[in-house]
Amino acid sequence: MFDQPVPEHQRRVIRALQSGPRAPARLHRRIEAMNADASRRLPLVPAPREPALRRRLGRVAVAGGLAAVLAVALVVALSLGGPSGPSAVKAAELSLRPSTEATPPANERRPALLQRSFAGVTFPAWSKEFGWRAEGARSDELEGRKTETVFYRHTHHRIGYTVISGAPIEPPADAETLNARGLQLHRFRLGRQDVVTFERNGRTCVLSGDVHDPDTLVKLASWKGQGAVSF
Amino acid sequence: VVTSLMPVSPEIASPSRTGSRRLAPARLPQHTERLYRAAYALSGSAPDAEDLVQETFARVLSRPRLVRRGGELAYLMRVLRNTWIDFARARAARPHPAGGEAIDWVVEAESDPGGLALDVRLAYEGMRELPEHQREAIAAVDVLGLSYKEAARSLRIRPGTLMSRLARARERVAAYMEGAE
Repeated sequence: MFDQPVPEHQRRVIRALQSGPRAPARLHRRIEAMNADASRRLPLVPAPREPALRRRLGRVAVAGGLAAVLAVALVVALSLGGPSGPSAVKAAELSLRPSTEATPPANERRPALLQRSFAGVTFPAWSKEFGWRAEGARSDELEGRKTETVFYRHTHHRIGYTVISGAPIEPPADAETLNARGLQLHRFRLGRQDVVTFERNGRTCVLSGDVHDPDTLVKLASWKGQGAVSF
Repeated sequence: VVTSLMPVSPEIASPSRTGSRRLAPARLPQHTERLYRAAYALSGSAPDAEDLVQETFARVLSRPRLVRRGGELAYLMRVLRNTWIDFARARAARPHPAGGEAIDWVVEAESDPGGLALDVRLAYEGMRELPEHQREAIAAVDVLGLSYKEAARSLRIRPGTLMSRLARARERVAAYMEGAE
């Protein structure tokens, strides 16, 4: 039933589709990292005892794996902070993307912060103060810069808090400059989204989303959590 | 039969008595290339394909399952398809300002004497003209490489339905390729 011959013109289609585009290297790296992360989070299950030789080979493999992880970490570290920079607009667009990573848990010892940091910036926890609860995260690369985004949700509104590695980037020329609680922010519109950019610990942060009141983003961005949120 | 299970250690991803095996995270990255091509075939956009693959793996890793022996790819296709449906719904509700970006194909005649690179470009362009159900069928079989049986199960359709969708999809893509030359 399924062994009917395929005509040549259809074979040409199949050949072409099977030779399609290659996945970018960064996607491979992310999948490997997610995979390693998932393996770490899985509960430990007692493994059956193995012969001594296999145990030794296993140790060698683990050592090799660690070396590979260190090499990748070194490459990532060296790639952070490249000279070129993405635009704030592109960073703001990340807030429309889906989350691909788990929600960072709250930091029990420091309730104003989440247990997730990137490039020296720890993401804030706004649920108790403002009702915006963290909901997922994602990692990206924009024009050679690593970025990490944590999403927050309040009723049906969703915003993204993106931290861009490397030197600060310029806001768009038409952005409005504000000062709130001693923090300088730049605000602009992107379609239906409101966007504010600001600096924390020398990194550009972009807070973006579709909110009722554009001042909401300013209020969230400039919140210091009684000193726990560092700038 | 795909059965939900509690997360397990990858070390014990061994065949069970029923012929199924627990999905081993360590084996998943080997499917990235094929899954990316299928995601690109479905979405027609390189950034979307990246997001789709990443989200598919995130979903699979967050809920390890028992899958048939050798059925990992079919399971990934099912999750990819569900993820794509969710993306499409979300996009309909919230327009994406960046829009879809197709891969920037540059084909030089000298560097592609057999014309394969040009065929690849035309075939993926032709995919975008297909109705959704035909695109899914051709992505599952011709792009991802599933057997007819696996693809039909993965898309939850009868094998006969899959065959007819596949044949029509191939014909339309072939016609597009010939018409574009």
